[in-house]
Amino acid sequence: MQGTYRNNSPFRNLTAMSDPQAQNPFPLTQDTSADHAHINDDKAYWTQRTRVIQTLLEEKGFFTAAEVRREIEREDTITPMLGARLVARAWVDAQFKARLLADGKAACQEMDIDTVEINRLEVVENTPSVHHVVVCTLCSCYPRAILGYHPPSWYKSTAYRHRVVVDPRGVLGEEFGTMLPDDIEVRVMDSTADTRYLVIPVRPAGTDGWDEAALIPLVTRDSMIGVSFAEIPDNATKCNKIS
Amino acid sequence: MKEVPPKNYHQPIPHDLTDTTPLNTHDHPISFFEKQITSLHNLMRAKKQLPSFDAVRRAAEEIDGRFTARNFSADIPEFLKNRLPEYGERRILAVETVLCELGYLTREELRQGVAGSAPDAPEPIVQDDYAPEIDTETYGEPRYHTGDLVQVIDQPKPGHIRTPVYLFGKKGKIANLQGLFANPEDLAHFKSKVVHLPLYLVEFDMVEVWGEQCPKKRSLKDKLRVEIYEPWLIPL
Repeated sequence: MQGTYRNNSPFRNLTAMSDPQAQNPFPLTQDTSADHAHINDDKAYWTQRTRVIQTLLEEKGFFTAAEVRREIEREDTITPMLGARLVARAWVDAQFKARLLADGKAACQEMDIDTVEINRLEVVENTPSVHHVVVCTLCSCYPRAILGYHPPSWYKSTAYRHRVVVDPRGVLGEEFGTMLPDDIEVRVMDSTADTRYLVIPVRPAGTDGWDEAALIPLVTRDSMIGVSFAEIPDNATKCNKIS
Repeated sequence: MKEVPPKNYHQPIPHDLTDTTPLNTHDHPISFFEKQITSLHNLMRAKKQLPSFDAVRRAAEEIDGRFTARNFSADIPEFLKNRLPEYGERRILAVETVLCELGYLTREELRQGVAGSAPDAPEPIVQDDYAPEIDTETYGEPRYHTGDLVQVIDQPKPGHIRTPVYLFGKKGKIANLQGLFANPEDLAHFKSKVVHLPLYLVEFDMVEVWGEQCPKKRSLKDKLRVEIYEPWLIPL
């Protein structure tokens, strides 16, 4: 049996959601435009070079400037809050957790989270005996539709990609202050192919009886990559944010 | 759509296991141009003008090879010849390459645009969409099952590959059959025929992969789990 790419394409139905806000009413978008921690002197050059690509493609009718602006806005609404909602639901609802672990994409659909760009989503659960940590040693594969379109810069760095597969305990301890007990099995998930991984961190102690909404702020981006634990309740009360 | 054969300067992603560079865990803000190139790229994918990320990954590895060999193409600015392109910059270069290969843009148009002159290019010859034939017969039935012992072949292959070089020759165990997927190594080079392949999650012991290079005492229980396409595996 043979077909064409078009008919079999996993990207066949890839279209922007008409209302991206619907899946994320609290996107926690941070305005970093005033933050000049990282200045690249050649920024003007790249800004111009990107503008040329966009202008040429607009002139050829591939898209309009408004479409590009809307796409940038849509991508800005995708934040780790989406992943935090999935994890908090999994913590309070064992049946949902089972569905999430069995078929990540289907469970996201239940929560109105659009994962059409992800071929296959595997949600892995950290427990007292197994700790998962995610990397992409080949590029920067990341569950962008759930954690955001731009992975943290350290995730994309060659240092993280080189080191975490060789000595995950060292990287987590030295760089993230995440000390793992000796008797836990560490599993480094190298996302080299079609699967994107999302980690369910261990539910923090002292949260018995908490409802889903109260748990959401404990679930950080880094805990869903597996380089840290979920926030413990005291810290979360102080910071109360998704890092 | 013409296939894009592997370049002699193609550079697979290397793995430096001696790297001890500290991480800067403070996030850099994302430049607007990086958001813009990501959005342009995603829009083109959404409109089916770009088939997948694989060709862009391949183009980025070609750029890496050119920088390593200092074999710069005309589109590399002088200031960039003294350093490696950063993440977002490399993305721009790779997206431009693929857009030109697909006939959506020409180098001349980009050059004129960068020079700041009014775009006055002739209508581009837009090629046919990339619509390869999908071969679902060559790899019909998955060869391996959960628990099978396998070894990654120890042989480089020209062009874009999706098996990390650090696993070449390493022995592992099938942890799961992930499903069947179009071979990204074919898609990356716009092959006219793309093989549908079984993809496995393979588990490796840290000590098997790194030997003396990993802190043995604390790594004995630890595992690497990596997705590998069937042609990269041999039975043990």
